[in-house]
Amino acid sequence: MTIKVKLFGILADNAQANKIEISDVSTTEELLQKVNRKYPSFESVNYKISVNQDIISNDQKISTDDEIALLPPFSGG
Amino acid sequence: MLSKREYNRYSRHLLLKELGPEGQQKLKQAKVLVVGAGGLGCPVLQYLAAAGVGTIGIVDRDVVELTNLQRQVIFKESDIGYPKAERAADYLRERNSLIEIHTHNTQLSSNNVQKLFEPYDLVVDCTDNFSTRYLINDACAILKKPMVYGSIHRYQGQVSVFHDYRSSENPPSYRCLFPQPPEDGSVMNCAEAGVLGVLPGIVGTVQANEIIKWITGIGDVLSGKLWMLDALTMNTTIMTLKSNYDPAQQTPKDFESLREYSYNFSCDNSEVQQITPKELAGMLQTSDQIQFIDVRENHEGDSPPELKGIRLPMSKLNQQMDSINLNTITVVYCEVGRRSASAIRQLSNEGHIDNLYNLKGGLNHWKQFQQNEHYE
Repeated sequence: MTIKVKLFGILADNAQANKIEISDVSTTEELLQKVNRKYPSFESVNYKISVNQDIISNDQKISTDDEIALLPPFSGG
Repeated sequence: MLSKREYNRYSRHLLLKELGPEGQQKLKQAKVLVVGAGGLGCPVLQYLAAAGVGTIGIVDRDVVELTNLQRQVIFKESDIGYPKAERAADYLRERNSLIEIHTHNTQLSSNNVQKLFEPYDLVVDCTDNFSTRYLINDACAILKKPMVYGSIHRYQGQVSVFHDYRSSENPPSYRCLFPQPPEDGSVMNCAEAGVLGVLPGIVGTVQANEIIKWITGIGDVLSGKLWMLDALTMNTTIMTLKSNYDPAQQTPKDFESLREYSYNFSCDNSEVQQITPKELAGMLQTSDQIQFIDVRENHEGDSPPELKGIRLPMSKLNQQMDSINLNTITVVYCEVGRRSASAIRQLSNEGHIDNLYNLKGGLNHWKQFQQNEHYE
């Protein structure tokens, strides 16, 4: 199962992509582990994950239809 | 009561049936503190003053710089070198003599935050760093004052309203979104990442809209919601955000514990040795043994030929740190000298601190120095 993940801010800069695909994951926790392994620089950013426009803090089941985004903090003002 | 002059001046507001004279009176009585008179602060201040917010406070300790003028549209060339808070206040007073402006030409700190925030109904976060943002959040949490948050990165922006006890008994805080600040150097600010000048204009105007709605009680404010904009695609998204933390665990519960909490998340360069572009140029003439480390990410462009050395992006520093020989004089640099200072702090954990120099002002100042040899 492949999940499309939207990236924002510094995460998109570091991955040099606005969207990435992560396969063989069925929960947000699994997804985050895989993402952080693929992009080691992400971990220090302390970003948040959203599923279908809900920003979540607990592990949640996901499927290919879900809209997933990774939201880093922005620093500028 | 509104004066005749006010009736006339704000007549287009009074025509709105949701706002009307009652809403305008609320704006007149409102006291709003804007922290940061930069890219976001400029449009926020302009629209609050124009709307007739009766008392506006401005906190900023910086002076106007030439590089601000690309997006901080209330400042002019003759303001360069003068305090932002004062110059912004002059600009607003010229445009609306019916309102009061208070300036606080000081750095917001855990020692002055309580005294500064208490007289105001609402605090606007227009800051450009995480230390001040978490400090504003935690002080607003203690005071139960709404915080209208805005932040930008290159072409993207975020806005939300935190601690709005009018919308919810348990309203979200900035720490519900980001419980902990990112590690030092992992997220860049405008000076490092660049920013499209018009972006803070859009995002700050959205903040002003939230403030005016909150004061007058019209519409729905972005409490429990995060508004996001990508100016390159013009996609906007509103995410929902729930209150999800135990405030006692993560946020100082009163001002006494807030004063003990360390908000200095970054930029303590005191232990890092600095080298100015001029000093480096002198050093290059006498020695060819200098090692250079460019810690910018690979997508930020090539290292200049005269400073060629090791390319070690911050994002890979931890994995590749061991492979570097620091037995020789080493100058570390990035775009503005902030990430390189953070890199030196990490590298110096391995010893060799005496050999490590941070290029002051980064490539930015190096390039300016090269164009003008009198540049310090």
